[in-house]
Amino acid sequence: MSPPQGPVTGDDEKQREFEEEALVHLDALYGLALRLTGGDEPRAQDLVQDSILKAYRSWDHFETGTNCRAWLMTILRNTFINDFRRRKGRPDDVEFEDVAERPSSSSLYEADPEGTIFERIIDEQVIAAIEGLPEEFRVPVVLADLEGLSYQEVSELMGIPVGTVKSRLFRARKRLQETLYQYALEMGYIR
Amino acid sequence: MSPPELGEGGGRGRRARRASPGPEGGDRSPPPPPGSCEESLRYVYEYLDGELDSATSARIDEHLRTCRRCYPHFNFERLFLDYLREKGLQARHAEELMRKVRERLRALE
Repeated sequence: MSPPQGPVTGDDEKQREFEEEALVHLDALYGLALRLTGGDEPRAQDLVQDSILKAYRSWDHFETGTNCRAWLMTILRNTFINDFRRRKGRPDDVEFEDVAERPSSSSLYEADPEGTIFERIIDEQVIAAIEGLPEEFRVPVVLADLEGLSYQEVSELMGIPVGTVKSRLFRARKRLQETLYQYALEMGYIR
Repeated sequence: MSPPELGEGGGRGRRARRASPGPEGGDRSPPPPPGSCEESLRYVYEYLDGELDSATSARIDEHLRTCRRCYPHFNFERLFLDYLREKGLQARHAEELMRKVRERLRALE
């Protein structure tokens, strides 16, 4: 075996490295893309492909050893958000939504205060519930509840006030609880 | 059942605490009495999301240690949010997509 001939910088090497470090996260990226697009498979696939190609082009700037998955998720999220904001046009400066909604107990809480339902409902149902939310509720849920971004970060990404983020998260969470309540009723987990 | 397992400050360890107080945005209603059930229930999500200032958060911690009415409510919401977080981002197998992506990468050469 001959010693390596200086740094290997060929495209083959780059592709091999990219496959090993980045493409292993493809399933996770697709999951995120599906949640963001509300389960729209063709759109989610385009989103993943665009993000992967962007990542590949900037691969030289990716610092080996840092969190590649997080980096790819950020690229995908930003790609989605750019499109989202373009579609929405200029965000309203003031969206008059009542943020003082009370966390009134949901039917799910009243039927199952211990939350045992969360161990019984199958995963596909919560995913369907998230993907079934209208976009303006779904996106904050994906960003804040699934990805763990702060209200401020969601506000900046979506171009909506923090108060609106709060209000939409509140309403989205209550909607999800209602949907899960319906599933639980259908399945006979609660009465 | 006590003490609460919600953890100090409620934030589920995933976000930096925000410095600003809880009520913001267009919240036009008067602030609830400090340390009351009303205050705790109003900020349940901000508390669990780690978005409250430390004083309000500490007051809610204190309230939850003793309030039998609020604690189960908070516990339920925490279970719900943990559940979303755990299940929501599930990947989906993407063999076909992987094939397309590889093709496009090769075409770049």
